[in-house]
Amino acid sequence: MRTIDIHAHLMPQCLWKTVDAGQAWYGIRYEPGAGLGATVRDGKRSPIQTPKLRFTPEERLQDMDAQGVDVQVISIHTPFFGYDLDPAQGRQLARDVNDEIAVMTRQWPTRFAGLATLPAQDVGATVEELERAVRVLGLKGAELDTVMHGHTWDEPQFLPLFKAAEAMGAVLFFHPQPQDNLMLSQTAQYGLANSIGVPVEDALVVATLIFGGILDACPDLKVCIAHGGGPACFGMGRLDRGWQVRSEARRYIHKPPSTYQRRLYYDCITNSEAALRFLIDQVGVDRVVLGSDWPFVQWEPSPVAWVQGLQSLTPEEKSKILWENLAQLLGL
Amino acid sequence: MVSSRLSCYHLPNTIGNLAERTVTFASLVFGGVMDACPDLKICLSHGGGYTCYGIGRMDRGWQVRAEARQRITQPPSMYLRRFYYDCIVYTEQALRYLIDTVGVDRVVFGTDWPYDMEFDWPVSWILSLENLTQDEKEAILWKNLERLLSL
Repeated sequence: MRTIDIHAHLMPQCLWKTVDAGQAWYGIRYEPGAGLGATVRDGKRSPIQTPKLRFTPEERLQDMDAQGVDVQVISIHTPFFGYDLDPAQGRQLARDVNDEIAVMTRQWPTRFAGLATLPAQDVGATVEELERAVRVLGLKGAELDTVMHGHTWDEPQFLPLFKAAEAMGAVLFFHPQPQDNLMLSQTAQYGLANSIGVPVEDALVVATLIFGGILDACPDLKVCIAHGGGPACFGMGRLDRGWQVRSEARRYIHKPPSTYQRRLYYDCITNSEAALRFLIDQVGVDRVVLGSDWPFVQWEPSPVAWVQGLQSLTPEEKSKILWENLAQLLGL
Repeated sequence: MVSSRLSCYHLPNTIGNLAERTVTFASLVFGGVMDACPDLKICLSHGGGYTCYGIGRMDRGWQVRAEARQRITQPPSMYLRRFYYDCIVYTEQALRYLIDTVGVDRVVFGTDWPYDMEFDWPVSWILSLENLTQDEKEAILWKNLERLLSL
């Protein structure tokens, strides 16, 4: 059986070559030290969590083989979105990253597909780079943060991006940036910003796309949300009630939010079988796709084995999640 | 928490309340309060928010992050049945999920009266649910609280 993984991160070789030579890559430096060292930006250290972040494409392929993953859809590791750079730097960062991802997809066309990063701080440049990524480089769409440097995606200036993505048939994969998580303002303890904050950010972008009218404005837009969309679908009942009783929730949408949840795709990183079963029962198995969060999650032994081992899913459901849905969505 | 991201569409309530309730659970558990006070009786509103649905990720965090194991030696899922949860989850599927995760003896009746987010006919809603047994409905509607509050 084929397997296609939509949620796989890249810390690009162009970044490593630059920082290992002692230079800054768009304001990011590398400091060796305890463990695997850390990247540093504006005085803030981010430890390198796994040696796999240095993997060459060849090493990545070996790891994929060990995991039983045939195809990875590669996207930038989220701290490197670069939305806070000045627009010219942001454009160049995006070009560098997308060119590297494109080389990987051309050299190993049966093993890698790609999602671009976009200079979202400049919407005009973003649309241009998405066009280049899809029509010239052959990437499948783009990965976006769940917010854009303090802005939310329902702001009117971003609509041209969604219209362009819709017109191109580009897939937009939303993934929060853990370093900029809404929980960090409340607590940095116990790792809660990752275990609670990240899925809440996922749920908020689902809500933004729905309540902000983006899915209505762009009925053919293809969107996938990381981490199963967080608890968005679990909490749809409360979202529906809010829509019923509060006019601010009905500002742009005239149907309850639950009627939109089957418009999105969701990766299968729900951290429990019960939660995955719930998600499948809410949105339909056609909307759930394989994701691994490579290289940050140590699956035992692999995300593919996890899905295949689930007792409450039929073989047909597993097949859809493991490859059929993404083969259709991405034209693979 | 949610207001720091966006304050519209009533999301600070419809997502924010549930996120905050999850943080309540997590703070009490990861912070060692439930260990320090083994007989403490806590009820979490709004079905405990995202707690029961997101417990898998919290367990994962406990496994892989040392800072999550500072004060507790068991994963957070081991503490789910230390709490009570009201039934304000709005859908039968979510209520069934809550019951299956924490046990029906931990789920109690709540309405959120008199706020506009409350159910129109909360008792009727429980009674109408097809995927709950009569025993489960009675446990939620009065038996669990009669026991908990010694009524």
